[in-house]
Amino acid sequence: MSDRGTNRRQTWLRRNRWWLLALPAALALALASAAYRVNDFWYENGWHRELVSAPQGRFVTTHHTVYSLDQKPRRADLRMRLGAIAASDVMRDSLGAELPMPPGAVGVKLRLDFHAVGGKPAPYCTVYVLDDRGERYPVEELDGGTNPCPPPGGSPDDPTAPRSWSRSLVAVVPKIARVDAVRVGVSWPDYVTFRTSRAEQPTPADR
Amino acid sequence: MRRTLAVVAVVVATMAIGRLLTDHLPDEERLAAPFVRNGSVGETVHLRYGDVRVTGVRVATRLEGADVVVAAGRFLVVDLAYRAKGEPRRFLGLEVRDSYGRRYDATARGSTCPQNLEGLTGIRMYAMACFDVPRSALPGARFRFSLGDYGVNGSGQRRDDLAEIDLKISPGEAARLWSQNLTYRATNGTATGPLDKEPVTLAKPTWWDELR
Repeated sequence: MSDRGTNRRQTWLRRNRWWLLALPAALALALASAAYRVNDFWYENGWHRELVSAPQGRFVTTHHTVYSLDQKPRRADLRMRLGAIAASDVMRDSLGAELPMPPGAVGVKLRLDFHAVGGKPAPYCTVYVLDDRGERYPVEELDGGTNPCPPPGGSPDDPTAPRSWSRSLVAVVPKIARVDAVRVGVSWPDYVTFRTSRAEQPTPADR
Repeated sequence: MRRTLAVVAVVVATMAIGRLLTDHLPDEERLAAPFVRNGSVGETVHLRYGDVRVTGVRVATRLEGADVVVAAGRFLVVDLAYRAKGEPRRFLGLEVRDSYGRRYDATARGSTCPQNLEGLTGIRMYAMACFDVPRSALPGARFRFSLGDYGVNGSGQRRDDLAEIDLKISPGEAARLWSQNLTYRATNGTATGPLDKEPVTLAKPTWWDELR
């Protein structure tokens, strides 16, 4: 009786050995087929892919895909650098009036330099400052217009755009933060990182 | 025959195990429940996306924003200091739960107090959240602060951190707070310094005051 039982168990394993071997493969396929969620819902929904990381002062050219209202992809080129970074005690609103800095905070003034690529000005973009703990700080002050990349007051489709221009922005960070990088993104998930030089770290006297 | 019985036994046992699993494993509601971080007035509660501290609790009959608004019950005013972590955040969840489990949203009446709060990364900000509550809500009321909104049955707060702060209102304190007749200036937004918490005297009574 026990002999027969052992035989039967062996037979079952033997009979189903290929299915048993296929189980891990099926599991892997199931996971892979659900992985699009990670891509569609997470990866493509934030700044997750670094195209290039450049030191402060070096120009880089990157290519981006932007979608207009008709949902057709268009190529947009960006040629820019992080020109300078400095501490700032004042911030101005859109009308030029001085705004007080929040207590315990300091302004970080950025100068971004741009070149038109193929006669076209830069696309609309998002700029944020990154500190050494990975905290992100948005840009609070712009020198005109509503976006930090195209020429001040200009648009990405302006045919009369200059060949090169500079923008000046201010981000507000806590005094204890050490600014490590400035990131510029055009469309999710691609971004460009500009690493700040340590020598030019904004160091307010009361840090 | 014995084989049939064995098959029946195996099927029944499998179904029993299935029933046990569905009965005793945490269900969807519990899996989706927020991670509640408890605190009390004056304590800083640390969350995944920031931190929050209740700096004071006030009770007002009227709030003076752009206009004067009179509470249907009383305005429970929660003074806050908070900070966003990681990136700029907008805190959508401002609620009060009373000891009966009832929920109150921040009042949207008049131009008085904010319904959600903007947070700059790493910078301490101040605001007041106001709730129009009945008298029975005051003793044991707790303030809730979260990144997501309550939405439908807590849909915006699922599987995320949530601060629940005991406002430390005893029944005696509730009676005292309820009986005072005060007007506070409302700040509809956020500030970078503590708000003015002194009651104000209205130049002229509201139509509501004239009615009663």
